[in-house]
Amino acid sequence: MSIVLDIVGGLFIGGFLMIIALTATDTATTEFYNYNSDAIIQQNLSSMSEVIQYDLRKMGFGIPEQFKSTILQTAQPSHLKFLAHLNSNPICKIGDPNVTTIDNIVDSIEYRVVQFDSIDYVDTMIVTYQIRRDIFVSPGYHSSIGIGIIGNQNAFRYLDQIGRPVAVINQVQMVEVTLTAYDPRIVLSTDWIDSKVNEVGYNEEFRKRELRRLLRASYWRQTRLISKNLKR
Amino acid sequence: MLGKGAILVVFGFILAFSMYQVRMSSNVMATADNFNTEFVETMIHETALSAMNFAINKVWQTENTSDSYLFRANSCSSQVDVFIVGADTTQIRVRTWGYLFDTEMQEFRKEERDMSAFLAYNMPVSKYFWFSDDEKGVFWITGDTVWGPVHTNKTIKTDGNPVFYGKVTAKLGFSPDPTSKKNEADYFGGWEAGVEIEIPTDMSSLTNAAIAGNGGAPKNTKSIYDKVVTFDFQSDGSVIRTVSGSPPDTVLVTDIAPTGAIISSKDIRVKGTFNGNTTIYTTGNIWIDDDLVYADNPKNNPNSDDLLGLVAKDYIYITDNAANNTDVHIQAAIMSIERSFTAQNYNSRPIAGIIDLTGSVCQYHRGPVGTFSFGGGIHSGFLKRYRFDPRFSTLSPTNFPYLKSLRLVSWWE
Repeated sequence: MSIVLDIVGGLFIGGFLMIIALTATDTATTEFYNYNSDAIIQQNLSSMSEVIQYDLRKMGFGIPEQFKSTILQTAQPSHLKFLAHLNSNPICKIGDPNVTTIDNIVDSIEYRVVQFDSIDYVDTMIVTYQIRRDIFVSPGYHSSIGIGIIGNQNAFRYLDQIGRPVAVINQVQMVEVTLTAYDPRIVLSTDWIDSKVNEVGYNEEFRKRELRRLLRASYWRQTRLISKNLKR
Repeated sequence: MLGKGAILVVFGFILAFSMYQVRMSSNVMATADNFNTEFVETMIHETALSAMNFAINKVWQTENTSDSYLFRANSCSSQVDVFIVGADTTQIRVRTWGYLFDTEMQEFRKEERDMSAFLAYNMPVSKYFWFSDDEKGVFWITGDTVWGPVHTNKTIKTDGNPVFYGKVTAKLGFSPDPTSKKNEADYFGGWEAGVEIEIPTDMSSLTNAAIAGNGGAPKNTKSIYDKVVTFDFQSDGSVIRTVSGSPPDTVLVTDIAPTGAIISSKDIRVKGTFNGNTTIYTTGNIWIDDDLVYADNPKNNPNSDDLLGLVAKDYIYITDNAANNTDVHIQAAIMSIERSFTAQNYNSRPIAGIIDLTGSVCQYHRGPVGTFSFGGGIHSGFLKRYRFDPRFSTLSPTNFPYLKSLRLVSWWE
């Protein structure tokens, strides 16, 4: 009898512990996944920002002051193009191993924010965008790469000296770069989102509220870059 | 049996959770690493900027164009090298490095940043559309639209909505402050306070050019004058010259100013249509007796090669005469070293229309050209219509004086 009780007790306690273990594992896996995704997202934003800063700080290098107004070629919220000498001497040369020539011909860098992907949540569509970076270095080097995925289309704002947005290109003294990234769960786990937004059964108001809440948890990073060559 | 099983289960849990803990910790560490990397890179950048500021300040103070030293701040090191790369261009190169602990490799990694600034000293005064040591409290007001750079060693005062398209610099700042809500002026080219630039007083280069051009000829016959002289320029490149006490004669500008410089110790009177490239300098006054324009109007031809500089130690006057009382058109780079560019009898002469000036104006004190009252219009003298000659961004009249002021030509980082 005592053996039977032992077995039953053991099964009961073992089962109980097993349930705890599975729940804990599930929670831990989810948290790990989230932390890991957060870290990756953070790292990606940081890398993207670093690349953009690296380029934008060169804006207008080698362009004579009297041609300052030509430095910014395109200044739109999702499209930025500017001139700079990127290979005028060995010290002031862009850090791209494929650029091997030195000359005194003006070069250009172009950033475009283009649509990358969209996720349909029936009553909400989430669109992600890719930042494309094009570098043109004389005599014939052209590199075109995507430097990352963001959640906002309007990545660039053009400001005057005290941070007021300006509409005329030759009044720009500062470029503000805003990069946002959705919570990775928003982009990667539609099931999770569905389960969240339908937690109380189908309820349009709840879905909207819940989606807004989830989207608010997105990450963002903003950098204001002042090109000293624009401020001369 | 139950006890053993329980112990095994507990150990199993400990093992499993320990593994998760390690993995979780690695994520937390990765986040911290991201932060640390950002921090170190920001520190390196800030240190490079500090080193660059220090180096620029040192070059500005010592005018030393060859230097090399180590700069340490924020636990980062910077190697600063200063060297000449052109006739008037100095390069400052800053190489900054710091160390970042790489958790994957378990070692310190060297992070470097390179920064270069190219600086120049000399700049023709004519590059400024408007330069004054003292604005004498005159306001820039609604309706004033200014192209080209503006500088004063006092305060820029604005009332209403003047528009500046070039950069505006002022030693004593701006009133109202461009960042205040009271400010309505538009500084589209940017602005900067605390900038002091002295009006050049050393005319030796201009004088030497005139002496060289004169080539030993008697005074008042070629490039050097010590009598009042009138130049009535002709569009064919000649000039009807009237030296006080002598009859007029017609000569080519290139003959009397082969090096592009004419100097005098007495007043000079000018008018006409100028064809050539010359700077006229006197230690007295210059009088503009009538329209003084280029043969090839730069408003119509941006590639016009006619360039005239008028430099007076004293005043540059718009003469109070009949010819100037119905508008006056002036195309030149104008500079009054110790006085002003002004209208003779500005407060008693009749209402004389507008001064249509294309060029640049540099003066010690901002000179009046008329009187007016707010809302009451003009009472005497001229209204102003001043335009920067865009060619002066890249060109200047031959021998026109230079400002000596350290300025940024280009910045690399």
